[in-house]
Parts: sequence; C-alpha cells; structure tokens
Amino acid sequence: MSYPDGVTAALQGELLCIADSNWVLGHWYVNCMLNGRELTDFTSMAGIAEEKLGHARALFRFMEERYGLPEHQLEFARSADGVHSMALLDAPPQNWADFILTLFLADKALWRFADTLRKGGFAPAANLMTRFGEEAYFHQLCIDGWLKALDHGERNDLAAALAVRLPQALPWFDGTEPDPLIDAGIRTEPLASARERFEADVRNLSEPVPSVAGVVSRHAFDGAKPIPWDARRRRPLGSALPPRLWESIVPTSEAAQLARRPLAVSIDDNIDLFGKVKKDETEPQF
Amino acid sequence: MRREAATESSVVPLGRSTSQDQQFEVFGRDQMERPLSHIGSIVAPNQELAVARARILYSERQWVELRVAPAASFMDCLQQGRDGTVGLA
Repeated sequence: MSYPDGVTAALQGELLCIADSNWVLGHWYVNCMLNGRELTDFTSMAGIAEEKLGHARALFRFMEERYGLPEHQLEFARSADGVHSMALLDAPPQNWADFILTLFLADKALWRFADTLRKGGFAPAANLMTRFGEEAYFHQLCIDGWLKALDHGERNDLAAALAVRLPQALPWFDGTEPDPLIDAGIRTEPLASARERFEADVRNLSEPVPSVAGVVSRHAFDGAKPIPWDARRRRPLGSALPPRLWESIVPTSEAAQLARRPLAVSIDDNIDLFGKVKKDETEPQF
Repeated sequence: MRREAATESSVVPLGRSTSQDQQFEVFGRDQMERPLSHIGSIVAPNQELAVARARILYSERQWVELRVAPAASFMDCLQQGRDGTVGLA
C-alpha cells in the first residue's frame, strides 16, 4: 500500500522520532551503567540498553529497506542537528533520582507515542510497535522497581528533578495539525490523547514517590512548546544534540573509527530525508 | 578520632536499599510440554525489580513461561544441615 508523499514524509519523521529517542535512551543506559549500585543493576541496564538500541536499529533498517536509503546512513551518516530524539534526553542526569526520573519520563512518553501507531493501518509500523511494547513493559517494570527503592533523600531529589524535566518532556507530543497520519489511518489515536495518558502516568508517580504530589498538582502540565518549534523533529528548531552526548553515540575519535566494524557500504553518501542534496545514484557504492 | 573519621568517610552506601533486599527464585520452561524448572535466583528490593531482572538476566532462551517466587514463600520439607531426622523419627 502506498501513501501520498505528504503522509510518507510525515510517517518517516514520526518513525525517526521513535527510533532516535530509543537510540539516545539506549546510550543513556550505556553511559550511566556504572552508576548502578549492584551487579544486577549493571546487567539490567545492559539488557535494557541492548533492547533500546535494538528498537532503534530495527527502525533504521526498516526505513532503509522501505524507502531505499543506503544502509547504515541513519546510524552513522547524520549530524547532531539532524537527529529527531526528544530534547528531554539532551541534558545529562544530575543524580541517581534524576536518572531514574528521566528514564521514566522518556520511556512512558515513547510508549504513549508509539502506541498511537500500534493499531494503525500501516502493518509494518504496527507490528514493530507491538514488539517494542512487549519489551518496554519490562523496562518500565524495572524503572517502577527503582522508583519504589528510592530512599527519602532521593525521593526529594526526584521531586526537584521533575520540576525541571517535565516541561522538557511535554512538548514532544506537539506536532502538526491536522495530523496527516490520522487521516491516512496510520495513527488511530490523536497525540493529544497520548499526551493525556502520559500526564496520567506522571500523576501516578505520586504513588511510589509521594514527594512529587506537590509538583504535579501545580500547573505542571501547562507549559507551552518552545518557540520556534520544529514539528517534524519534535525539538526546538535548529537544536542539536550536545557534543559530548553525540560523541558517545557516534564516536568520531580516530581510535573509535579504527575500531568500528567495517560497514558494507560507504557512509559518505548523502540521503535526502533531511533535505540534503542527494548524490548521483549511479555512482557505485561499496 | 582521625581514624574514625576516615572510616566513616570510606563507608559509601554502595548497596541500593540492602535492608529491603530479598531473594527470589526463578523458574522457566522453554516448551509447553516441559515442566517448569528452577533456572536461578535473583536478589531485589521489590517484586517489580525481581520480575524485570529475571526476564532481563535469564534471556538466554526463548521462554514460553517464566515465573518468579519469593524464596521466603517456600515451605520446608527436607533440608540438608538439619540433624538428619525425617518426619517423626
């Protein structure tokens, strides 16, 4: 089944939002793994990182095959200002509670967003989202367990972190109106509804962490999206991933490049997903 | 005094809520016709982490069923280390 160009472009943008947010979230786990305080924390974080990166790569491979993009371009040939990840994940965690809270917000937002495609008419995306949901259930269960195990001081840290992180998380649900994916039957639930579910998730945080009750009751969900806003990347317009975070995701150091597994194709080719000029397609790739 | 201070500062709370930690036993089967088998143990401060960790740590097979139970919920039947008596003997 083929969709009009506008719908396909919108779908590509949304799939990249999910893929890139999983990609960055997976690297959050990788980068913070050694902050775990038990062997089982390390292994849990390593396992979740593996699956988050797996979700990102499954979407990258799907998009490359479906839309005829050269292999590995999405993972290795983009720049920090072309990534569609949620801005919530740009700033590093300030403490253990902030880390757990950000994982909670990012995972819930990702799932509420992805779930709008799960019952839609575009079967490949629906099937991928179903599979992601099966694994994300256990990621969220792990986060719930970490939340319940916070001590008194960490719960206060979490409430303070929520006041900072929540306004960064909410705008992610703001896109273009009317939504072409709704009209095409690819998305079965408006993102406004997904945002309401996400807000309910955040309110429910007060059950394991009562100290957040004051934060979520005071105009916590009133924040407007940053202006100017890039509705396609769901980030502030022109924003890029911070250099240190980006370097941890796609290392550019000489040592890292030497150690990188050789790719089947050149990553120097341009792709036109982001409005770049495409190279001559008759040029041989190797 | 100095030594005490040094000792205090070196006590870093590395364990996550160790006072809450419990042992859980993990059982799985990889085919429906096979019995549930004990595959390992998990230490966790709550049930959520126990279940999540069990699924993440014991992922070497494609399980059709995975179950977690608190070790404390098991009843004694026979146990090594007692005085060797069984039943009324």
